[in-house]
Amino acid sequence: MKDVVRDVTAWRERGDRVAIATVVAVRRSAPRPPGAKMAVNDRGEVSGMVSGGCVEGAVVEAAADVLGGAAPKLLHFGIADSEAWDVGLPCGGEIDVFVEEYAE
Amino acid sequence: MSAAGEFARLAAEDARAALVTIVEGPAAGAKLLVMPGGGTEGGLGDPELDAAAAAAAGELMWSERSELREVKGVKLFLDVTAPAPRLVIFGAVDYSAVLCRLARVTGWVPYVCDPRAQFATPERFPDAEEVIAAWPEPAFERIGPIDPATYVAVLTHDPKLDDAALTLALRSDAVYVGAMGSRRAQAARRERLMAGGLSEAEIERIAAPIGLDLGAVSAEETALSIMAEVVAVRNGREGGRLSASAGRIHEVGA
Repeated sequence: MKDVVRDVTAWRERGDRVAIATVVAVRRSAPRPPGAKMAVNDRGEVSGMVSGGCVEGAVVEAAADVLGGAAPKLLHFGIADSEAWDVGLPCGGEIDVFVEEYAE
Repeated sequence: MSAAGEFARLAAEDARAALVTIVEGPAAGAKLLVMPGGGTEGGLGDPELDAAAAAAAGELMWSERSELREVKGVKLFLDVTAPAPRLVIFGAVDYSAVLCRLARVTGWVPYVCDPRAQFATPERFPDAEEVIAAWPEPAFERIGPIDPATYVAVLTHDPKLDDAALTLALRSDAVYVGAMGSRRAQAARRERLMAGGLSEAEIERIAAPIGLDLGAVSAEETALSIMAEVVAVRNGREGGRLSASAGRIHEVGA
């Protein structure tokens, strides 16, 4: 949480809505450990990372869905995925990312 | 304030806490905040699940790792926030200054304690969070509770100071207690501590001679070997060459 808390607090203070994506599980080699976070506000600004940059684009889309009213999502990324060519992890790992709206 | 908001506030304050979130199913997003004393806020929608999750989180928050767990058939993410670990160095010796510098670089908070006031000065230890010129008991009191995220290195080279620091550290919750000295010095120390009333099990906790086997000679190398050992202990590793092992490079969940 420490990685994004300053930006999230600042965004909330100016009235933005914020989604938080958290790495909840990691298999094999992956760049960020469980607990790593990325925050996205309703202006599309981003803070923090959940991988080395390989899946952030897909996470931003999921964050926009959640801020648009969708239920929290548990996303899975990895080489076993059919999306591997689009949003795979080059290091060969797999990660699960939970995306939800941040509510104080 | 919600459990998530409170968790964010605690993380910003560098406090310790765990936030449990249901990550799958219709209740996804439900949260329970767990504090070190066992206090909770929020809930997962089932008191029994709350109790089981709080127990798991209460343990995990000291390992400083966040983890996915299945509790009573529910997929939970246990998110841990924790302050930087503390390295309490007893002994205002040359090694201690280098050790403070290495501790800072690796994200630890070092303290130096020594009753010999002419050595225990802030000028000699610019990287220390605090330099405390006092005997172990008042020094440990000043630092605050020696909790399971506190690591103690005893480097005074003076048996009566070493023994006083070790006696307190070994009976505290400190997860690691290391002591400088040769194997012969450790044998003599063992005798003294036994005579002083410490049990076999308490004395067994001492990591002595302190440090990983780097063949260290200089103060800098010795400090590196000590820092390497505390990092390994924190990560649940023995230390050793990655090229000689087949295991994971990082400790990760599932």
